[in-house]
Amino acid sequence: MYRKNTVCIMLVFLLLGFVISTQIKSVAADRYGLSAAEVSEIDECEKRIQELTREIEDTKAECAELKDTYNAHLKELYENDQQFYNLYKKYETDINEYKLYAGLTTVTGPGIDIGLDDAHRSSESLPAFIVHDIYINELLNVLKAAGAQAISVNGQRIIPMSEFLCLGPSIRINNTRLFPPYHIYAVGDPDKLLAAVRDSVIYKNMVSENLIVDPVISQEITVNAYNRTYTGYINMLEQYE
Amino acid sequence: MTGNSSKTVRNIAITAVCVLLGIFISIQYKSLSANNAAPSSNEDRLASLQAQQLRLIQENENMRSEKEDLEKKISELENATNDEQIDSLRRELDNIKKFAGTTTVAGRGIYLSITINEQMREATLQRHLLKIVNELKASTAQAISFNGERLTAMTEIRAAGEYVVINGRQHSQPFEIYAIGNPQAMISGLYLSGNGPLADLESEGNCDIVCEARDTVTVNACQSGDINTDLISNK
Repeated sequence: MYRKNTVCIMLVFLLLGFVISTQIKSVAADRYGLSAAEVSEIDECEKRIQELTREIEDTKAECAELKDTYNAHLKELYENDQQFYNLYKKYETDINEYKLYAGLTTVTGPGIDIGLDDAHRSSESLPAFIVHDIYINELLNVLKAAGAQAISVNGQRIIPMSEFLCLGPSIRINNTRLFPPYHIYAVGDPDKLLAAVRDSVIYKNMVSENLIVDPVISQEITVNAYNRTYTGYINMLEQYE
Repeated sequence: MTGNSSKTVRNIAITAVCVLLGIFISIQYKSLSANNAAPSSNEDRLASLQAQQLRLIQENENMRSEKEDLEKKISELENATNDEQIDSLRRELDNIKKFAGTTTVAGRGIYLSITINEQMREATLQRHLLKIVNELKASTAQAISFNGERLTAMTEIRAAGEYVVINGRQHSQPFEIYAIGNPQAMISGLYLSGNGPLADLESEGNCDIVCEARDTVTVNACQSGDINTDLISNK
C-alpha cells in the first residue's frame, strides 16, 4: 500500500517536471527564437515606410516650388508673347489629353477590385493550383470586353503591349515580376464588370480549381499611371505619312 | 489512528499535486495555442505593411517623375528658343500617340495569317488567339493590328460563334495580324522550337498559317471612339 502510493506520487511528479520543462521551453522559444526574424522584418518594413513617407513629403514640397516657378514663367509668356503662349498651351492640353488615353496618368473612377490568390495549401490531398499567366490574360480580356477603361495588376498599368508570362510562382507584366496575392483594379461600370466576371468561363474554372477569386465593387478605384519611360515601346515605330 | 491520519495527509498531498498538475497543463495548452496564433497574426501584419510599402514606392515614383517633368519643362522655358520648344512638344505628342495606338505607324515586323479549316470551340479559339497576341507582345512587338483593328490597352479578343470580336466589331476568317518589332524574336517566340502558341495551334487543328518577316508593315491607328475615358478622371 505504502509502496503503491509512492510510485503514484513519483509518476505524478515526473509528469509535472516534464510539463514544466516544455512550458519553459515553449515560452522561451516564443520570446527569443521563432518570432525574432519576423520582428526584425516588421521593424525594417516600418522603417522603410517612414523613410518613403518622408521622401514623398520632400518631393511634394519640391514639386510645389517647381510648379510656382513654372507658373511664373507661363505668366511671363502670357504677358510678353501671347501668340507663342497660345501655341504652347494648345500643345500642353493635347499632350495631357493623349496621356490620359495612353495610360500615362494615374486615374480614378468606379469599378472593381479582384483579389486573386493561389489555392489554399491546407488541404493536402488536393494539388496546389497557382494563378497562371493565361488566367490573368483571360480575366483581363473579360474586363476589356465589358468596357473597362483602365486596368492595373498589382499596381502595373495595363498598356497596349503589356505581356503576361509565368515565372515559376510569379508572373511578369510590363517586364516586372509580380507575386501573389494579385489585385486587379479595373475602372468601368461596376455592375457590368462584376456580372461579366461572374458569368465568364475563366472565373468558373478558377473557382473550380480552388483558386481564390474575389471580385468586389468599389465606387472609387485608383489605377496607377504607367510610370516608366515608354520610349522602349516606340523606338521601332515610324510615323506613317 | 496514526495510520489513518498519515493516510489523510498523503491523500491531501496527492490532491494538491494533481491540482497543480492540472493548472500547469491548462497553462501549457493555452500558451501553445497562443504560439500557433502568433505567427499568423505577425504574417498578416507583415503582409499589410508590405502592401503599404509597395503603395508608397509607387507614389514615390509618381512624384519623382512629376518632378522630373516639371524640371524639364522649366529648363526648356528658360533655355530653348520658341521653335525648339514647339518642336519638342510636337515630338512628345507624336510619341504619346504612337504609344497609345491613336496614330498609324510603319516599321519592320511580321505578317501572320491564320485560317482554321475545321469547327473549333469558341473558348479554344479565343485562348489560341490570346496566346499568340500575348507572345508577340512578350517578344518585342510595339504595335499590332488584328484584321485592321489596332490593339490598344483595352482591346478585347473575344470569340463569338464564327466571329472574333475586336474593339467591339466582328471579324471573320482569315485572321490577319501585322506586328511591328524584331521579326526574328517574334517568329521564334511564336514557335519556341515546337512549344510556342503558333506551334500549338498548328499541331492541334487543321489550319493554314502564313508567318513571314517583312521589311515594312503598316499598323493603322485605332478608330476614334475605341479609347473611352468617360468614367476615368486624372487623380
